[in-house]
Amino acid sequence: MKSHPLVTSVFVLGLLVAGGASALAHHGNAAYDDKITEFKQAKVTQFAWANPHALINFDAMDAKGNLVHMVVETAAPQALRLIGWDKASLAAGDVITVRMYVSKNGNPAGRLNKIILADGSELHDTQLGGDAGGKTRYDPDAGK
Amino acid sequence: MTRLSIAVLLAVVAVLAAVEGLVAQRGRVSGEGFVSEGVPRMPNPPGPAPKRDLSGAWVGPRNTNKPDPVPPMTPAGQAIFKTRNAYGAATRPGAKDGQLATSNDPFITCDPLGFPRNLLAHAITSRGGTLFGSAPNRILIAGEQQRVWREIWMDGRALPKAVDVRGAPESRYYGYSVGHWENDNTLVIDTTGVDERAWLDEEGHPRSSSAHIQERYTRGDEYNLQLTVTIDDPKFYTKPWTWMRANFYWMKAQDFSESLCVPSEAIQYRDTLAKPSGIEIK
Repeated sequence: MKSHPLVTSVFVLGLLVAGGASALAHHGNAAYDDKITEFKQAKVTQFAWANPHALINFDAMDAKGNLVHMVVETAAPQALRLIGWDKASLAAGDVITVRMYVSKNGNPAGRLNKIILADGSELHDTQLGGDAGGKTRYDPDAGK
Repeated sequence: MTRLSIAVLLAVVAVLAAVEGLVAQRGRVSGEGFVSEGVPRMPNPPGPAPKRDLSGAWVGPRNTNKPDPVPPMTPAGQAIFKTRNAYGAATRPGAKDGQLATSNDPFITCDPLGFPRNLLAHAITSRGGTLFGSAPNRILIAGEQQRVWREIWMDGRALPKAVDVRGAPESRYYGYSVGHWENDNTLVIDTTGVDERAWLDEEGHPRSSSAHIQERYTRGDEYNLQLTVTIDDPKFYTKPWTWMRANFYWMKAQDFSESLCVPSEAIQYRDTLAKPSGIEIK
């Protein structure tokens, strides 16, 4: 069979990009939507600085104005430390903006893209959060 | 190849280069001054390796592991492997019509990684760490992940000839290990008697309690430690193979973080995030 070169190339591109992404990820994201959903005025109810993935539980209004209790995963604490997070980055009661990929099955859970804190600073996810919040020169061993 | 297909290929390469560039920018703790992500390069060139001394903290295998492919399994090995569903398969569309498989990786609820899977340092830490120390008649190897340690007996004792039979010791997640210096820079460790409940790797390959697993640590210079691991397990595999071929690098800070799989945290993750999201894990 002779396939069209464009079709073949796009297929190869897909494979390579998927391979690169999986090398960065602890696990895949097939369970989550591809689109980002944003929750403004989200109130943190628990920040679990935990393995295998840190979890942020928060209450927010969905697009229809209903209160939802969401939980969003991000990376493991060790990986988050490398991009500037720590155990005190969030606390219950904080009011934040959450951008995340919600689970495809409609349950109130998903993977983080990034958080915007009340002072405008940002906390990014390691694999889906874009530019890691400008912490490109962070050295975990500096000063030791 | 037509001009069109060449042009398309070049465009694909350009897009890929851009993607890789973005990934590199996101490297955060890589590039100049780092040997790999999160691992600072030592400021001075490495001096010669001290003789018969691996003591200190090392980071690895990071992304250096270049193993041989896993050889064909025996029917007994295949039978066990069929029962295992990797965690990765539960989060990526797989061969089963795009459905997510249900993972039964024992580490989901923090069962011991066991030896040698602990050497991969995959599941939690992004870079891995190993501390060599000593005690009378033995070398101690402590792993950053799960803070587990192994005792490598250097006093010439023999390994158990069998485990889990009458009059013999029991199998253990981290097995029984003895070591010797092959030369001033190479430590050879032989291990057997591992508990078969632990997986060999992230994919769920088995290893038997009678497997002979050999580690060869060669300190090439002050900051680089080569590790080769070979596995000879005729019960489950048709031939021996090199399971790990990696480099460990001297840890600048010499100070590990606490990297634990905590059962209550793992259960919270499984029950409040993973399962509701459709990630199928037991």
